[in-house]
Amino acid sequence: MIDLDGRDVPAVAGQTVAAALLAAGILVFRRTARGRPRGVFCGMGVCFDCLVTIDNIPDQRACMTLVRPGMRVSTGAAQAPLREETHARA
Amino acid sequence: MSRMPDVAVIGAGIVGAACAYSLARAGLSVLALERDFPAAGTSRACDGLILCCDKTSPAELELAQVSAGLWAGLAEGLDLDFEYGNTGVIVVYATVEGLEAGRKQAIDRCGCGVKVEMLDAAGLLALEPNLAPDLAGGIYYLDEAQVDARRATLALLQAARRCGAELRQGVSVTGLRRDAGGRVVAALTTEGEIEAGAFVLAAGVWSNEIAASAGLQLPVRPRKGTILVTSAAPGMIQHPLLEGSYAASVHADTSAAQVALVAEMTAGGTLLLGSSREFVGFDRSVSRAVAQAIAARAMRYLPALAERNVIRAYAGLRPWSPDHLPLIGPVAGVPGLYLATGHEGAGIGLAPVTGEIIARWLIDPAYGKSQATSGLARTVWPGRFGDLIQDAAAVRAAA
Amino acid sequence: MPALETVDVAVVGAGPAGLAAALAAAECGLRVALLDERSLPGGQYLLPGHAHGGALTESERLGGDLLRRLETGQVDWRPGVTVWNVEAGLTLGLFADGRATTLAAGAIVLASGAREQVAPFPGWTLPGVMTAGAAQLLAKRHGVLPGRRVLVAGSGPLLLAVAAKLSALGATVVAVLEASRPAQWLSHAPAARGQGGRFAEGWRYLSDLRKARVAYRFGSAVVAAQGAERVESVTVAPLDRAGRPLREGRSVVAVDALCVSFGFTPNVELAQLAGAWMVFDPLRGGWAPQVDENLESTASGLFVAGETGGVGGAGLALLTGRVAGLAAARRLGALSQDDLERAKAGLAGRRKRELRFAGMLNAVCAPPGGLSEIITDETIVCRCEEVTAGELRAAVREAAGIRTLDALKVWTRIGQGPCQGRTCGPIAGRLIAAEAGCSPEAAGTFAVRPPARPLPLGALAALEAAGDAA
Repeated sequence: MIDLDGRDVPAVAGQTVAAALLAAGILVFRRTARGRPRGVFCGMGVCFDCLVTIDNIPDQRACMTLVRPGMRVSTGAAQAPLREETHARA
Repeated sequence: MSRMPDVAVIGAGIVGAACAYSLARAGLSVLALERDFPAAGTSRACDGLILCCDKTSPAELELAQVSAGLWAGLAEGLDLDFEYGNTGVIVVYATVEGLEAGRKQAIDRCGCGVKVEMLDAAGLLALEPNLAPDLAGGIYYLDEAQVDARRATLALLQAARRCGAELRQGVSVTGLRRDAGGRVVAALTTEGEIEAGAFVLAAGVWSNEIAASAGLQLPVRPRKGTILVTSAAPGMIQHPLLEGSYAASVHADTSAAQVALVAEMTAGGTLLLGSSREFVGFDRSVSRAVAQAIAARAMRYLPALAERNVIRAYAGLRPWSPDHLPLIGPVAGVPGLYLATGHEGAGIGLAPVTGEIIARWLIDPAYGKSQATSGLARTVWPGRFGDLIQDAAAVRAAA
Repeated sequence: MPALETVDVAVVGAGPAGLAAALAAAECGLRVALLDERSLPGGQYLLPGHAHGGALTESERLGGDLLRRLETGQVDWRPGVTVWNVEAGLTLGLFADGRATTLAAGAIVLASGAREQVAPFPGWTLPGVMTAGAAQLLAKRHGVLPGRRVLVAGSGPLLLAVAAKLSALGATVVAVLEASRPAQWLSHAPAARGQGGRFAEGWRYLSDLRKARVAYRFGSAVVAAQGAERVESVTVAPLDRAGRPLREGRSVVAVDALCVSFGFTPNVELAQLAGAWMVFDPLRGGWAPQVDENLESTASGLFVAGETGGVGGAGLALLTGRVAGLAAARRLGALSQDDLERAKAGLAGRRKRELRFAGMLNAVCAPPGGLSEIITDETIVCRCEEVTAGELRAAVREAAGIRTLDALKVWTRIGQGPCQGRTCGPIAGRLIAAEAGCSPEAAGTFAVRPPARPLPLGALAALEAAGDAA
């Protein structure tokens, strides 16, 4: 079991955090600065889209991190946008 | 531009962009020449702080204050948002001795109209809770500001073009041609000779070789500065932070790398962490040792950054001058040429005032007479370094 | 300051090429460190559970042998290590278990593999849209499906392998959309000689899919994905011969996952950091380091093996890995020139044949030029910094100087995020080419500087911490 945003999610040894989350039906791993949902994309450590906070350490790649018993993962899926959409003018 | 421009600006970094803007706004026809693309040199590889707190002489401080005022106006007036924010800057001190010395300097600056607030250890932590708990205190300079340097360059260029200036990119100036009277009349470029009524040399550390073609030897040298960028860390700092020894690191002209913390948060939430100063020629690579030294300074003051990632790093070449003041204005014995270089790490802050001084020199022939012996123009007058003409015979030959 | 740790040969990447290189150098009696970011050796190719219905390809069999040899301990295998720097003098910067360290080597073999290429479309950032490789890894290694109703789209043989695996695990594969047409493959037929094994493998996947009633369609692609918090449906369009999507014949398909892939591009950032000269070759998958016949780059002592030297598949990776490992041993005097030449001679013929076949795959599988039409101005190109195609196009139109990725990075925020432009670089290169009418080669690459991977600040600060007290 790992703790995901305060609830228990099953996980097995050797599994990556990304696999555990997807197996539990969780697709949204984080929100971008503009509030858009993101999840697993490249799955091999290249794209840095699946970033989650693990045991209070931010910006960890869920696809490259193996689960550990008692691990606490927060997705930031409920986070408010940091930057307003209007700020994006070119 | 069909006819010959009144003035050609060589270089479209922040200083060239500011010159082009001021000149075009003053009604002159302006051609800006950029060998690569805007901000391709040093202006893409720096922080965006507009500082008064690191200025050590009243003349230098006045220059910075005037420029800071101009930046505030530009933030209101230019169309392109360049993320101007005047949150102030906090200078932080690890030791009581350092804090005391800093306070004395701050009090001197207050006499020049700088607004400061003295912070004891508790006061410092109240404003910046993520700072190390064992610091002696800080000085809050309330009027300091920051911009996104890259976007500020683009904003100035866009405004200059709206005033009629033309920007030509991908044109490299290789030298200057002087006529029989010694006047600079044309730039030799990769696209042939380009004539103009006057030339503003704003090519940063790359100004020297262009000036050399006109027989001038500028006292400008490249001084490398490295910056680390962290992943977004919203709320990590509320104000840009400077380590108390920053000003001293600027003024230490030793060959050894100088490192002092500068931390600035961008609109995107990333932190820019500097600063370093080293004389290593034109090498722009990021060295592991310097990156590590900057990280160590950041950890000393902001230990909460330990788990934050450094996502990239870059280094820029600051145009150092011997007295840490820029060279802005005409050159004795070389009519038609104006310098706007040598700003070292203050190019962003001093860009608008540079543009204004250059524009005054060009539109008002009396400006030199009235100002050359006093005021801002005197502070930055290239003539303070004596005769810049390296080899009079060579100059005549070139002509 | 603590003494630098040194090894004879450092091999970066433990896929087929890295395994072959490390073991070849170890055979010559050298101390070899094999580094990989992952926790298991084998890379993307030799994943646990890689056997397909009991039948192994030749490369899988050979790779399996290498994995078994790794267990004998002749190589210092270090999982979970991120390489963030390569300095002149062949010193690597490493990060593992929260610590940054350096490792000096007498020779380095770079076998850091390749990454998938994708062609963006509106909605490609939605959760549930992932690369075929991501889905493959999740399915093969963890038995996890990306969704229940899955569409697989893009180009190349990986689509078949992934669709077959997902289907076998119980997913409903709605369709497999192959952007290319059979004629494109036939025009390269001579390159396919001697590749019977690969065709047999492909045929096996196809027949599995047919049994599962999965539609396999040539000449069509996904042009948009829709959904709020995750992908809910995709729009599918037929393509004309230039790869341009047609207006007619479009359909909207309900899915809960979409797997996309358009071939591969080499992971070359560490070679760039070492100052190796790079060449652009679409037949090799894009930018790749220039190498000599010993697979040594122009950075002395830096050898390149496998996909990093040009996308060519596992067979080529095994061959080049061995050559690079032996050449590194030769550099260190652990192998005679004659022995190296003999080893190379035995491999040369096969290497040539594999490269020819790989060239065909890379040419046919690359995102078709016409597909750039689906990239609307609102489409995100840089996923990290959320830079849109519209911003990039405006920059290219705005200024004559904006014709390179380097310039675009200054003009917009593209490539400034944590992936350091690895995902958007090739895409933006093609976008510049389409907008400015030049080649993607002219757009260049993003500059690479240390750290070549995000590195915790505290770890960087503590690197060889002796001396720097506050």
